Amino acid sequence: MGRTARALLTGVPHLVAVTPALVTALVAADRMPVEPATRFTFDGTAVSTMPYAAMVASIAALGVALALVFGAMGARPTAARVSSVDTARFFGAVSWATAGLLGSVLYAATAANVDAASAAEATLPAGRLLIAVGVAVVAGAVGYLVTPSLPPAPEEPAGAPVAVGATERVSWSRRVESRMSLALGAIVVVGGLVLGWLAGWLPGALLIVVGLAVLLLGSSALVTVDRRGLVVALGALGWPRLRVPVDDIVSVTTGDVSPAQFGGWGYRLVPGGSGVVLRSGSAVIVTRRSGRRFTVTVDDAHTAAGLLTGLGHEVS
Amino acid sequence: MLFRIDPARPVPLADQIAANVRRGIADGTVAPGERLPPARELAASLDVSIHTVLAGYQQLRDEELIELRRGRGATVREGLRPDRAALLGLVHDLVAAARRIDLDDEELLDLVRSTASGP
Repeated sequence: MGRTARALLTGVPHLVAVTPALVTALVAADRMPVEPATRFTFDGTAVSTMPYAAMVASIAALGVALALVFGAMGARPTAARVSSVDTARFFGAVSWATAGLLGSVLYAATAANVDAASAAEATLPAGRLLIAVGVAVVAGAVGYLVTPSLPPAPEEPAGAPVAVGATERVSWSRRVESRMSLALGAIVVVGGLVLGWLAGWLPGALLIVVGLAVLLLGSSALVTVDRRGLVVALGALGWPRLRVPVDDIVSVTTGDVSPAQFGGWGYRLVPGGSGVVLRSGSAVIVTRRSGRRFTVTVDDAHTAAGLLTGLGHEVS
Repeated sequence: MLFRIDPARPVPLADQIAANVRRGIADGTVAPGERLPPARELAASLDVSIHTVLAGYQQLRDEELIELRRGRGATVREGLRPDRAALLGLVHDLVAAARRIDLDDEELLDLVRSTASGP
């Protein structure tokens, strides 16, 4: 299945999802209040309204925007497999479930306005939300089933295993830096200063603390391979650190990964795996006994992987 | 970069650590300006005393291959020619070879001098 087909498969459901709400709004235009209710509380009464034209435009825009975002993410090229579960099908399920939930909520909210004299008369029983969740679950299941699994990029060999002698001690280490985190942290700190000046020091200081935390913890990591296994010490302080012992490693590969596969930069959890992803590109990927995969982006991943393989079969 | 040491060899561990760095610079694995692992981290990783690592790093500083600065740790000197690290590696091998055949320092230096001034 090509990239276009994948983009359509994850994008189009969002266009389909907003159609019932749009059609209802257009067909029953003269039976709706001038300012239809758009938000409801849990007891079903309307809390805010929007002009009719703005509501129709918002529904259409939401459908198109979600279709573009999910379509673009669904079409991403093949990359090294970083999870023990099939992330392509999982993503298909997420996309379809989102479309199902949003589509039914939008339809219910639009339909609640039909034949209402004013927004205040429109009511949306909370039970409709349960129906929307049900639709989302079914849509998610269908999405999972119709999405074919993405063939992972061929896994690169781990590099020649580095033979480690019985009395020998080895240590490979390399620092990986994230320009994205540096920029983000700096922006947040500057934002905190501006906010502190404009809006008072408490919110400003909070933002500065968050920015400094990103700079300190998220901007770099020291990756070490030695008798203890694979150790990733986060940030300038080298703490916290993540460790995968040699005994827990079933296999080691290397490959190109991208932060999109993990939903962003930093320490990431994905179904069936986790990773420290500070940039895109070469990474060491280890499969643990549990089947879960741990990924860390680092230069010279071949040497690290070869050494991890060698440590697993020490020459005695 | 990759460090490999073997306590079973007759060479002091600090010398082995220094030799690893020389080799790394010579073969381009470690570039000028690059930071070496912090001494404490490397000591824990290799399961040796931090003094052993620092003794190795000090050798490299005395050979003008790296700079040791408080707070910045050990960095390979900017503008260093990798060949210099290779040459220093050869010098260490040369001295070790001379020791193995019980050549004393004067005899070794005479040999080097006469080779350097020869045709």
